[in-house]
Amino acid sequence: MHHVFRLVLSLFAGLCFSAQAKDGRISLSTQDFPGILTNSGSYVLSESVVLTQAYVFAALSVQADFVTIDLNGHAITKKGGTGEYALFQGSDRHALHVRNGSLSGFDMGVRAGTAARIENVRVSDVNSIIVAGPGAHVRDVQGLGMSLEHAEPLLSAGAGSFLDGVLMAEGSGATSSGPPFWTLVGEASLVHRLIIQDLVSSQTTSATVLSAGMGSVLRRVQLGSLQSEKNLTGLSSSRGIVSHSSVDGLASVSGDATGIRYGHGLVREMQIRLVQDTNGAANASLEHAMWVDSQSTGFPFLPASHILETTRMARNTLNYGSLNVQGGGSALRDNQLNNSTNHVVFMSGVGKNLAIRNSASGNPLPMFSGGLPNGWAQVEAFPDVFFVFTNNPWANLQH
Amino acid sequence: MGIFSPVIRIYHSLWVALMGVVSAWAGAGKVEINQRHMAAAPYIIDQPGQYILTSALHVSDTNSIAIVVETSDVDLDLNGFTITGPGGSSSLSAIFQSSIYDRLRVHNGNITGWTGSGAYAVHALGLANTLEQLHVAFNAQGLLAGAQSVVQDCVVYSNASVSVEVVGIDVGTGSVVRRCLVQGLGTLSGNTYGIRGAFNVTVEDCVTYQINSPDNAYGIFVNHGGVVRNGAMRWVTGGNEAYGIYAGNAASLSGSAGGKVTGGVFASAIRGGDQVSIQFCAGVESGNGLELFNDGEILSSIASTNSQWGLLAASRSRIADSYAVRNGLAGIYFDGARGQAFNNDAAYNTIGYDFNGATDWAGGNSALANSGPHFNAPAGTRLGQTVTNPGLFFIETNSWANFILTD
Repeated sequence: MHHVFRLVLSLFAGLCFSAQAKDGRISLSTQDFPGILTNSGSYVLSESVVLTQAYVFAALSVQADFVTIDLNGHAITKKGGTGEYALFQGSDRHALHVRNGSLSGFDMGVRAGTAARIENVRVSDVNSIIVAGPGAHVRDVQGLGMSLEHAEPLLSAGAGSFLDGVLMAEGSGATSSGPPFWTLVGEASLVHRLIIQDLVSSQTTSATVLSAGMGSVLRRVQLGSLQSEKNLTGLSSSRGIVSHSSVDGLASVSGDATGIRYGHGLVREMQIRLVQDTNGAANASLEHAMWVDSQSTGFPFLPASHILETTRMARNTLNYGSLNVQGGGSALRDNQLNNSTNHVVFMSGVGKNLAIRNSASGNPLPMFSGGLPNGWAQVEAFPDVFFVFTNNPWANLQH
Repeated sequence: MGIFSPVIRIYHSLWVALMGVVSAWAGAGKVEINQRHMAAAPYIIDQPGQYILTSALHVSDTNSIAIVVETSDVDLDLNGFTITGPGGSSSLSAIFQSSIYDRLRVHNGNITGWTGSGAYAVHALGLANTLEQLHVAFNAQGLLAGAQSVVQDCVVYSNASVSVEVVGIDVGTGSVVRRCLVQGLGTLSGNTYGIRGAFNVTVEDCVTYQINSPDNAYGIFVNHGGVVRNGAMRWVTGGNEAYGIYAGNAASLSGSAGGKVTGGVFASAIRGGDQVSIQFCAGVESGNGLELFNDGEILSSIASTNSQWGLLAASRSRIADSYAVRNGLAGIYFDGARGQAFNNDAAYNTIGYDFNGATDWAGGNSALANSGPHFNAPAGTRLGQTVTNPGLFFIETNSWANFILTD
C-alpha cells in the first residue's frame, strides 16, 4: 500500500497546495501558509513553517467547524513584520482542535470559537496565547514570553471551560497599557493545575492575574513572582471553590496588592505569602467567603487581611499581619494569628461578629480591637504548662 | 495563499478512485474506514483490532448507523475526523455496540447530526468501554457506555431539539467519567441529565452548564454509591425539579460547587440520599443549597444566597463546621429526628437554625444577624444553652453553648 501511496503523491506533487497523509488526513506544508481552511476535516503539519511576510492575518484561518489541526510536533513561527494569529477561528464557529506542537511570534497563538480543544501546545513570544469561547478544553499548554501591553488577556476561555496543566510564565510589559485581566475564565469553569509566574507589567491600570467567573472550581492554582505598577490582585472569583492553591510573591509598585479576592464561596488549603505594596494596603480580601484549613504562612510585608462581612474564617494561620473584619456576620474560629505589629483582629464594622478559640503570639498590643455588638471570648494570656480553663472553653489564647 | 477547498475536491475524487484497491492501512496495522464505506452503511466491525477513519463520514440515509461494532476488543480511532448523521427524526446512533460485546475504545474525533429522539452519538452498551477525546455536538444525546467504562476528556454540547429524555453522558455501574464538559443540553419533554451514572460511578473534574428541562433537570446524577469530586454545575433549570448534583444512597460528594439551580417545584444545588457524605462543597444562588436525607453528613461546606434552605438534612444526619449565609428560609434546617449540628455559623438568614423534628442535637453554633428566630427549636431539641450578645471578653462555661449576636 505504501507503493500505491507514493504513486499517488508523485502523481499529484506540484498540482496540489496540499496533500493527503497516509492516514487520510490532509497534510499541510510551507506552501499552504498562510492559508484558509474552509472545510471540516483533519489536518496535519508535515513540516515546521516559518512566515516572513510583512503582514499576515493568520497562518491558518479556520472558516469551518469540526477542524482538527495536528501540529505533529512541528512549529509555526512568524519572524519579522506582523502576524495577528497563528490559528484563527471566528467566535461563531465551534470545535477547533489544535494539538502537539509550537506556535511562536504572533500577536495571538490561537483564537477559537465554542468548544475548542487545545492540548500539548507551546505558545511563545505572543501578546496572548489563547482566546477561546465557551466550553473550551485546554490541557498541557505552555505560554512563554508574553507581552503585557495589550487589552486582550494572556489566556481567556469562556463559560464552562476546563483548563488543566497550563503554565504561563515570563511575560512583561513596558508601557502604561495592559490587560485588566491577565487570565480570564468564564463562569462554571474548572481550572486545575494552572501555574502563572514571572510576569511584570508597567501598566498604570488595575489588573487581576486570574479572574474566574462565578461558580468556578479552582484547584492547584499557583501564582508567583508577579508585579504591576498599579493595583494588582492575584486571584479573583466568587460562588465556587478554591483549594490547594497559592499566591507567592505579588507586588504593586505604586498601588494596592491583594492576594485573593473572593466572595460567596469556599476557600481552603490556600497559601498566601509575600503580598506587598508601597501603600501598606496589601491584603487578602475575603468577602462573604469561607476560608478553612488554610496555611497562610509568612506575610512579612502583609499588614492587613480584610474580611468584608459575613465570612467564616476557621483554622487558618496568619503571620505578620492583622485581620480587619468589616461589616457583620463573620465568625473567627480556631485561627492562629502570629507576629502582628498591631492589634491582631480589628472588628471595625457594624458588629455582630464572633471570635472564639483563636490563638495569637508575638503581638505587642491586645489581641482584639472593636466594640459591641461584636463578641469575643475572654483572652487568656500567658497560660503556663498544664493550664486549665474550665471556666471558659471558648477562650482565645494570647502568648 | 492556499485555498484548499477546490483543490481538495479534485484531489479527493482521484484519491477515492485509487482507494478502490486499498482496503487497509497496513503500515500501521489499522483497518481503514472512510466515506466510500458509507455507500453501504453501516460499516460493520466484526473482527477485533484497530480501526481508523481516513476521511470524514457522512451518512445521509436516515435508516442507517455509521459504524456497528459486532465484536469485542475494538479500538476505533476517529483520527480527528467527524461522523455526520442524516439529521431528521431517525433514532439511530452514529456508532452502535450491543451489550453482548465488550471493550470498545472510541477516541479522537467529532460526532454530529444524529438528531432523532433517543439517538446517541455513541451507543455502546457493552462492558469496559473507553470513550475519550470526543467532541459531540448537535445530536439528540451524547455518549452512552456500559458498565465499568471510562469516559474522559469529552465535550458534549448543544443537543438537537427533541421531545424525550435527554442524557449528555450516560454510563453504567462501576464506570468513571472525568474531565468532561456537558453544556447546553435540553429537551422539549422529559428529563435532562448532564451526566448520569448508575451504581458506584465516579464523576470527577467535570462541568455541567446550562442543563434545561420542562420536567426534571440534573447536572450530575449518580445512583447509590456514587462519587462526585470537583464538579462545577451551574444554570440547571427544571420546570419541575432541578439539581446540580443528585446522588443516591451512600454517595460521597466533595469539592463541588452548584449554583443557579432552579426548579418550578423543587431545586437543590446538591442533593444526596441516605448515608451520603458532602464535604467541602458550595451551594449558592439556588432553591436549596446542600441537602441530604438520613444518616449522612455535611462538613466544611457553604450555602449562600439560596432562595430557601441553606443546609438541610433529615434524621440522624450531621451538619458540622459549615456556614450558611443569606438564605431565604433557614440557614440550617433539620427535618427529622436526632440530627446533629455542631460548630456551624449561620448569618443573615431568615431563620438561623430550624429544628423541625424533635430530639436534634446542637452545640457550638453561632447565629449572627439572622432576621427571624436564630434557633427555632421545639421542645425535645437537645440545644446547648443559647448565649445572646455575650459581649467583649465574655466568659461562658458551657462548652455546648450556642451564640447569638444581634443588634
